[in-house]
Amino acid sequence: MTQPLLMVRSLKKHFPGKSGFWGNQGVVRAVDGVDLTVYPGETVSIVGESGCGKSTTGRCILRLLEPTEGEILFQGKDILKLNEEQMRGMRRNMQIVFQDPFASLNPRKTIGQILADPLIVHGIGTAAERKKQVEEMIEIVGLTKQHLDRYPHEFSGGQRQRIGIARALILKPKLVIADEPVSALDVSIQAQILNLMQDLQKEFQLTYLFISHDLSVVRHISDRVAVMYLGKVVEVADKKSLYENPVHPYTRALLSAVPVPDPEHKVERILLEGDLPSPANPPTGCTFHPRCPVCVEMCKKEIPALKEKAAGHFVSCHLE
Amino acid sequence: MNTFIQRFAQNKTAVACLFILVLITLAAVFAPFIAPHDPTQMFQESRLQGSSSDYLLGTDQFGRDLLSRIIYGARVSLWVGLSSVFISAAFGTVFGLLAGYFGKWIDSLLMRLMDVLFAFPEILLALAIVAALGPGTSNTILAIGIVNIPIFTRTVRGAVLSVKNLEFVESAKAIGAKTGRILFREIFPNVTAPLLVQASLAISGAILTESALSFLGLGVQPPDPSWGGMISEARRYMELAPGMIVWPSVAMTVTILAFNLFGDAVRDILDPRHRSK
Repeated sequence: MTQPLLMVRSLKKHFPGKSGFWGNQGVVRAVDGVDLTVYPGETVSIVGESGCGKSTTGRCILRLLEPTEGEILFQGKDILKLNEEQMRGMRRNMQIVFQDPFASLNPRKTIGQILADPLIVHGIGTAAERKKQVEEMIEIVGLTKQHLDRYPHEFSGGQRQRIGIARALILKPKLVIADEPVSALDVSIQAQILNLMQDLQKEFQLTYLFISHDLSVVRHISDRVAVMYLGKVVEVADKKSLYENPVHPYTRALLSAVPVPDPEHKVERILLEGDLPSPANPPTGCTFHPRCPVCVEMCKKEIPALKEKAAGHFVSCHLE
Repeated sequence: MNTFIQRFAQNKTAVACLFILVLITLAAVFAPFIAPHDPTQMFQESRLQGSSSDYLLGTDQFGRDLLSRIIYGARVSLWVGLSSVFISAAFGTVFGLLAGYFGKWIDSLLMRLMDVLFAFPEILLALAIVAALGPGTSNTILAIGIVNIPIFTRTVRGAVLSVKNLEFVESAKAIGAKTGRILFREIFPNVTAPLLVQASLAISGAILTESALSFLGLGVQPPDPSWGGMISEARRYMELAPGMIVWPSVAMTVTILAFNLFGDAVRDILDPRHRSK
């Protein structure tokens, strides 16, 4: 098997909880031991409810947030051990596309400036070469040179997201983390952006870590899918076996909620009771046990490990 | 930016104030060409006179031409106003950026320091600083500059807090930009609007403080003309020559009002809540 591009080992990110007069009280375990492997050229998706830690995981991998614990191996090198200067160089290889196309572009800069910035920061090329690269890039994402002198507020959400993608790709990164890149867009625009991302993946041999809560989008774009619940990965498998043969009770419940565009289609919806527990005070044992329809005594005491149940299909559940 | 100019042109107050301010600035810059007399030349035979064709606004107790002194006084007022606000804005911007962006102990330290400065009434603090440094124009500028730093720090800090968690700042980090670049290239352009408003309001305050200091004899030193100093001298002669106290006061009132209304108008224009109108 090829060497993984990215390996995340027992990644943890704890935020300080409510700070009282006598100091901080408790921690919020936003990410609590995530393991993930991403191979070159594939698209791995992280799905889960809001608040399950998927965006935090993405930001930790890029060290936009400093993880509390764990290892992040990029091409075999632990990037958490890099100093600030080395990390700055490493950032050329890993970029991010943000969710909110309105907040992710500086309103006071022209598109040309926004796209040239990454090149300037890394000292790439002369001014003329940078201009040429920016012009090429804007056309690759489906806009024109004339757009470069305009300001972000003059663009629609879909166009802004194209600009965001152009900014991420101009450094020719190997890994792109896409944090809910289409959640803020209309459905018709979503499809355009997803197709663009797939085209670009082929053109630039990109590897995507795709973070989303939208299971239909994930099914469309992914090779493999990781399901997160309360700061932990509960199931990882290739797309086909996950969607057709979900093992973890949480994954099953999640998939049963995906609407099917067929009025005759009748499914057994698995309705989960209760809300997502607070990551400041997670349940004992398996964190899913208070809401699990098949919970047994052991689930309340022991934390299940992520085990390979079938080839390439990892599940953390005592029962399966 | 074009929409800003358009909306500016539609705002009558803003345009009128800008006109007055340009007029005052031109008078100050070209004072040697406009003023009919040397502001310190004494015409002994014509002391404490009212308006005449020779002395349009009359003369003071030494026979100096009031109009010339007011025109030269505008130089002092504008110079003190602009340069002291430049000092406050420069320090306030840096402090505000640091406090807002880094937060934690840097924020606490800087803002508590600003609170200490804020606790003193403006004129009292300025008086104390000038008393310590000694009177004179440059010390006045320094004193007023220091006094106004907290207002700018707070303004900038607030604006930084409102943008620092937006994704474009995170994106700059993801690109690998250094902190200085993030502060001055990404965040700073987003705080210029409130800074501009604060600056135009602070200039009028600075002019007023300068006049007060000069009135008390701590600011601009005689025989150099300054509005505050002229008003101070006029106290003893106001029954004999009311023009001595009226004209410098009018000049000061018009200038301060113009800066204040201009600042208010710019704030209204830049306020997004007024944009729908």
